[in-house]
Amino acid sequence: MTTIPLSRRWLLAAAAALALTVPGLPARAEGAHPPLRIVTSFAIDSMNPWEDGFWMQEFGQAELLMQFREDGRHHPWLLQSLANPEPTRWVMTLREGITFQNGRPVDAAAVVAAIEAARKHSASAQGAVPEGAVFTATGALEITVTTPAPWPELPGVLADESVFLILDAEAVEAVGEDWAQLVGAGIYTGPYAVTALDDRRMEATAFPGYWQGRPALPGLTVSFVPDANARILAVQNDEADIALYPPLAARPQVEATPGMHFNIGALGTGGFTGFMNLRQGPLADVRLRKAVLRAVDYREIAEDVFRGGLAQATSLYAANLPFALENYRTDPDEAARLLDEAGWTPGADGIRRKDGQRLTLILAIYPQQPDLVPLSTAVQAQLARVGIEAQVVSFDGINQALMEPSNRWDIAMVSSGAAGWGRVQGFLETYLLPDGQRNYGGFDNAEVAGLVTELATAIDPARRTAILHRIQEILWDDDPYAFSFNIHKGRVVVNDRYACYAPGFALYHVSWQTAPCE
Amino acid sequence: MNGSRFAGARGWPRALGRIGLQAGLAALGASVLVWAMLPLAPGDPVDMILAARRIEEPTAAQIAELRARFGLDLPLWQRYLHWLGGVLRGDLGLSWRTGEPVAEALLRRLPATLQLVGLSLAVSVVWSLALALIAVRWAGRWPDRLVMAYTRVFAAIPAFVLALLVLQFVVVGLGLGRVLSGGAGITLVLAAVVLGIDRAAGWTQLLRATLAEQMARGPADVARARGAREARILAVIALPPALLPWLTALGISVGGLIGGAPVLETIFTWPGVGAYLLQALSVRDVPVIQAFVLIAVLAYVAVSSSVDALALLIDPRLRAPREGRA
Repeated sequence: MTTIPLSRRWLLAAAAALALTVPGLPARAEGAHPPLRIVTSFAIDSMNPWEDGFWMQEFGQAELLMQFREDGRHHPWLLQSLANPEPTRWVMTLREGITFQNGRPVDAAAVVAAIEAARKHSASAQGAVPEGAVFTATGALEITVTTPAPWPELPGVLADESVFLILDAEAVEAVGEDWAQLVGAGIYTGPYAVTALDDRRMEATAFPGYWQGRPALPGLTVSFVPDANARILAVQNDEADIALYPPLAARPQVEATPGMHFNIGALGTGGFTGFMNLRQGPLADVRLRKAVLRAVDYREIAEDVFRGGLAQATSLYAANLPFALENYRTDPDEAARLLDEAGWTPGADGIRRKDGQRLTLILAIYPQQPDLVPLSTAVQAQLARVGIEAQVVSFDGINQALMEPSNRWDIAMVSSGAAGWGRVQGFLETYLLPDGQRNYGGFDNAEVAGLVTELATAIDPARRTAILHRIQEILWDDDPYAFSFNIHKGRVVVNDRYACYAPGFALYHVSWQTAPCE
Repeated sequence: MNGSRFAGARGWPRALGRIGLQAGLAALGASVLVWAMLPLAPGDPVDMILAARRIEEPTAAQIAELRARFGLDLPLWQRYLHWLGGVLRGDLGLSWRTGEPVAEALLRRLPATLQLVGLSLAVSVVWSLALALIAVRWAGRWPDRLVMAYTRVFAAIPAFVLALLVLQFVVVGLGLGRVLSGGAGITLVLAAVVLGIDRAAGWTQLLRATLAEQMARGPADVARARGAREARILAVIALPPALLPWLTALGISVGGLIGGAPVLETIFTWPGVGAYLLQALSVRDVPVIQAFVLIAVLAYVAVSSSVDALALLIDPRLRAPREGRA
């Protein structure tokens, strides 16, 4: 176990003690927007499109064939349409008139070249594409994808920023691994082209030939500032317009500061997920697992503990996803009944006992997620209400620690995405299958395994929804194991000019229309 | 008297050799400990590399390639020798997160960190020396009490709290400098003053105590009896012997100065190794952490050895062979 060198919460608590007295920001003349200034915690290390390219999609440089939107569905982006005429064949049709920022046309041949280059160089692409999949340019703007078995996740794969960025593969191959040469090379299609990148910031200017129209801003700067307090102060000091990834603990003082706003976005697709240990300890008993699910107060976590900064979990999946089955309910009485039934009876101090043994669960958290501290504290209190004592243990390197049999834990609290970019298969296979690489708790349910396997090739939307509903039912009613404590929401700190800015869904921070408020 | 000087001159090479040998052994021992960070860390390093690169679902081929690329399939002793050989050639390995050579990435950022550490050291030395002299010159009076109050307060406050206050009230409040430093000189000065003043508190306490002790000793009394002024006694009689323990303490705590710099750099967005190191820590990028710790340790050994050598210059008795001093 280690501690983070700078405790964000401590720093922010210190900052909260300070008087925030800087006056409101001056308004600028309309029609002459200055470049947007964003501060973010993560550095873009290089122009290597296979390892760092996904950032470019987030800040308006690169685009994808499909886009995952707030309605929980995939929509054509650079594509005009995506059709599935046969179970093992998809047909992608590109929009007309799109060019890379360097002027080269984005046609079927260019897109196939980008896809094949990603399959050759990108680990994420290699992991996402099934063996035997073939991408062929079957027209000037048409690409046909054939696979040995149905591939229902293709729309999600095309919308995933880490898989197929649409780029000028020829220009990329030409630089070898001298990635710095790609600055100013205009290899992407987005509204803003990279003009500078170093250890401190990325700069991009508007691409005048952008296919959707004239970008609203002349350009943007993304500065890399790992310290959350410095990011917030940069907005306060009018050195930045938007600060990404502010801690929720900063919300009260930001909202009390003139000229600053703490904006909360729409539902994300992930959250803090709980995984129960079935290999050892009391949760091997299914009645205790059911009791835990019903003892957790999901509303209290979202509304009281995190003051609305997170969304209430109503299912394993975010409520905006079409296959979410809203089956979560807090029911302490039912939890108590299940515990009674399992033979755990309340002792004099309120903690239940069985055969002289106290009912104690260990909650595993990790230091990289500071929000797990208030969350685990709240869960401790909620479990205590039904007579379960909970202790919190922090593990450094949570994934390895949970897979290590000698480590004692009962409920792991992990930030994960059960449906990132609308893709569900990866989570299910990795966390719920017996041989999954992150099957922390030894979950082995034959029905779930069969459903996950079927889902991998189930192309019919109704059948897919039915499978996912059944998995969610099993995880709540029959064989609880993985569950959501909450669903994350995007959040930003902005100045007055960007007071109307909504945090980007699925990490789309900048679009061609992003601009100061009217 | 002359014989003593002669013995001291003869002892120079031997004493310096002893210091060099001790430094070499310390560096070698430190290299083993720094390298051991990796095999002692819990879990499979490949899992840590995958986590650092945010690869959620690796293929078997990816795992095998990473294992071979980072030499994780070799026996431990071979891995150590391979790593040590690389270090001696200036190769600090590849970052798990980015795949970039760590030496290159650190070299880009190290000059800014050295600027900060160097200026902080200068601030600390000048500040603690000046305050200690003032405190002892007016011992028991208000300047002394003021200095002691400063040392007590600043010895208790962590440097990052001071940094936050400076950022809030000086940078944002008074408009002096910028939050996003961009490498500006004013930020360097602010960060160095914060780090230097914070470090100087302990050094001032020590120097004040040893100076006060020297001022109460025989040589100072003799000088007073001969009519020397207090300021002259302080500077000429008391200061040289008082510097010895102060320099030793300075050498020992310079490691803290190097270790504290990244935190200040992060708060002041100074473009040194701070942000790079912080990101490495957050994803357990072990080669980067190893490299920084190794550089900090070597810098500490170098400074400590220099202080020891300086002590030889100040006190000739230290140059004499051990048996001669017995």
